[in-house]
Amino acid sequence: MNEIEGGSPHPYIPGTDADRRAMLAKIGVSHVNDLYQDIPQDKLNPTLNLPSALTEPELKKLYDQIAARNTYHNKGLISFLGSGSYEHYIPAFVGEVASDRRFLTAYTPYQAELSQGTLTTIFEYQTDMCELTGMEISNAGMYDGASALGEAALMSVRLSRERRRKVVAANTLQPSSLDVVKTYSSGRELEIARASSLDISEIDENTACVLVQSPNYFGYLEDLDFWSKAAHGKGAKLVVYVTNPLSLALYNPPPGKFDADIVVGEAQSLGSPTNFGGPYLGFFTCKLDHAYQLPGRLVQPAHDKEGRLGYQLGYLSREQFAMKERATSNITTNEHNVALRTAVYIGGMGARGLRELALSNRKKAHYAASQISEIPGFRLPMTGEYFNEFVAECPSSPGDVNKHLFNLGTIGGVDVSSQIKNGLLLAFTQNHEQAETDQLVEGLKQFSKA
Amino acid sequence: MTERFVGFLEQNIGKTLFDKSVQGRRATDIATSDIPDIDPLPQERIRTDLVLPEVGQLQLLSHYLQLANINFCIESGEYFLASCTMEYNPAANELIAKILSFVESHPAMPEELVQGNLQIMYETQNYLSEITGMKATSLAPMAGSQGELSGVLMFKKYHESQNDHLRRKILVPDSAHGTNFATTTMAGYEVDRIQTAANGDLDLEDLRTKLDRNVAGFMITLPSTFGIFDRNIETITKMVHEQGALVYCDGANMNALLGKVKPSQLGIDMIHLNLHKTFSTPHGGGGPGSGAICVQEHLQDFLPKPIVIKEEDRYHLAEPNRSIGALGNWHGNFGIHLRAHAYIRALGAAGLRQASEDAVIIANYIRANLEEDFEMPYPRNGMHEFVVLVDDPVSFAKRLMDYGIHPPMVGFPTPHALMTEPTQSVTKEGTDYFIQSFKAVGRESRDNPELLETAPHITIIGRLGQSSRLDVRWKPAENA
Repeated sequence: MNEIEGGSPHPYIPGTDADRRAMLAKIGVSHVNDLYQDIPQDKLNPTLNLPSALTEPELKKLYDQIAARNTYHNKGLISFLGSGSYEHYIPAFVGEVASDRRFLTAYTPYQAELSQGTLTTIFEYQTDMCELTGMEISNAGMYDGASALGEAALMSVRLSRERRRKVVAANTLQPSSLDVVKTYSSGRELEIARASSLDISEIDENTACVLVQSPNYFGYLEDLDFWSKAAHGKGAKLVVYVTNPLSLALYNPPPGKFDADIVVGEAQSLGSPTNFGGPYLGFFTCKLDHAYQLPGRLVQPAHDKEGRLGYQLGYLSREQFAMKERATSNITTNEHNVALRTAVYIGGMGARGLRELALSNRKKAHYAASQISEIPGFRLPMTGEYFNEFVAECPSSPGDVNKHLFNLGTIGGVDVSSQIKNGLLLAFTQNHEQAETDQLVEGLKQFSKA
Repeated sequence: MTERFVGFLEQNIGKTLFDKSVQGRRATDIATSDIPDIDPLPQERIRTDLVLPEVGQLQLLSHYLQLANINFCIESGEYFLASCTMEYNPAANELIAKILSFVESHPAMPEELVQGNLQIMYETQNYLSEITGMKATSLAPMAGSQGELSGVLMFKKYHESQNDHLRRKILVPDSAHGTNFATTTMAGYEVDRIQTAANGDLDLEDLRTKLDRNVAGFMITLPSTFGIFDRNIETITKMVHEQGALVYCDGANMNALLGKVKPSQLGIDMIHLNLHKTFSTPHGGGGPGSGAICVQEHLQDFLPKPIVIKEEDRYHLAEPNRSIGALGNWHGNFGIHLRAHAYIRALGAAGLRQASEDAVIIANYIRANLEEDFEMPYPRNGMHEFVVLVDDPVSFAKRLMDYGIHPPMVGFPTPHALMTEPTQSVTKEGTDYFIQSFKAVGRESRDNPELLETAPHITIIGRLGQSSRLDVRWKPAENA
């Protein structure tokens, strides 16, 4: 550790021996272990088997080496993976703002007078999500889309005053998200049932909520009018789940216009990198009437005595520090730095920028789909409007297709054959040049011939 | 009184990017595409009602820089906010987190293409298991609270696996963090509170009375939220186990204990760690964090998925046999795992132990100074944080702001508490300044209380009044 005699043990730990001596003297003990008297002494100072400390240059070298084992990067592979995580170009200003230490190292804005920076950005973010979803109120964010969906199910049960104990999920929901709903429901032992556009018999008087994803897991838009009637007809809440909120900037009308009670989803595609799955951001919006059951933080405007406008945490009688076991959720630390990225990204892109980007994504996917559907052995098994993703039914297992594509320098799509026969889920963004899409189509043509 | 320039004009306070919008401006290039539009969307299906900001790129950066100017961060001054561990967030970690092959990896990529990512997760699991003395760790929880939820759901699954269906209660100390109580509700349990004894340890008699076969588990924070290490911890865990229940440790205060004791050796069955507290990952204004959960051997089958395993020389994502399930769509907050990994590699075992020791020394140094002037709830040495009692902690905190200090935690764990946690990152001079300022405010509270009641005076905004229930977003034309 390059120790200086009597000096700081590490650049991150400024205390010198002289500092420690002075402090221990004031405390009135002679050794730091005297401050650990309450610990069972036979358990004190265990050995920690950890690698020796590295200097900063050694660290950088180590992580460059580890990062090189992500061979996708060295090989320059093009990916068509989506399923709730999307590769977009992120404007340089997003990272610059989010990395600013004054935002990055600040804590939760409990002291409003010192946190107007953080609080103002949350207020912007909340406004952005209300605009995109068409809903009246948004919280400051949740961990990710799936856990937000889990919390939406629990909130729906609370809204029914605990009388309804069943959660009905459309069968076009992302399977991993349904898994999370199951985890969140397991504590309260809620019943989970499925429904489809052909069979809504499970929606009944015991149903707290109906969970519908749109665009759904396969990329297709659901008929929210149908689902709204199906849910509300039985007094259940409609929860709409959106894993690619770029779609919200494009499609008219937004979910809010279908009388959705809660609209949640994953905000990653709005300004954050794919980053191997985290940190992401779950957004959570609902009707104002339901606000007292909303989980998570909420920021509101207020004035000081001189009439200056500022922002502070609001609706506090929902949160754990005030309500403990009667809180709407145990969530505390959420994903604020990601919400900041989202607010900056949305603020920079604007309505027109997002709409044009969404149209571009859609164009790329629709072009690819039309090319692929012409390939012998391939077809599009689903009909209707789809956004930037769709399922291609392959002539044989998608695993084989992906293997073949890999040899051509392409990571194919997500294998969804457990739900759609030989189904391959392919996503397109503006990052995919036409040449790359053509290369994908060529690869699939080759596979079809073989 | 001369006006001073603070890098932020007063008329900008309260303004959002929406307020600076001018129609037709843009901060980004509009997406273009040479691909033919195979089936154009009909006009009526395209939204035209969205109201979002329209600003130039410089104006955008200017807006956020000005907001940053009025935000207090660790680098702004003494930020001894307890139960948060406001320690230094290393610059090296931010550099490492930006390495492109980490940033650009998609979570659904085939495992053989992202072995670097899986190695990071695997090693981080191992480091945290070693530090806590536990057998296995899952990095799935995305914050401490999700760690708690997974822990309590593991209580449930464990007891079910033992065919024990009577357990419907969790015991929690009355001083515990609010999240512990909220977690028990989310997991479908009732909660029973255990009192704290006069010396700051848990009231063993109260625990004994409330422990029975209906108790699924006991949640303890070590050291406690008062910064006190319970002298009877081994007795407590033994008592809980005798009733067939489990012990969960809220590891938010682990910064006192690195290399000083392994929770696994005290009878603790599982512990969550806050990587954004103990392991230096940035607080971010409220996240992202990560709440790794570490467990003893008899619980490892129940861990939330995924865990990373190693077979021969390859790393794989796996699901424990009787896992409580998934907590998110993907693999937890990978970017946070990476930073925690880098912190552990930078410090090593000796560095981590030194960090804890310094955190404890500095906290006790401040406490020894302040106990001359202030009332303390428990007359004994604490660990890395401690509580001081004052009449009006809210106003005391606001007045501290006038000294350029971020206040300690207000009103927790008890209504008159001010809780201070300096961490090992701070200097003795900074600590002495904190002590002087704190004592000065103490004197003011006696001699000139109006200064506290009207504080803060030098911040960009004063204390805010009530918000209206209906004001939850920016609105055009008028913004509250």
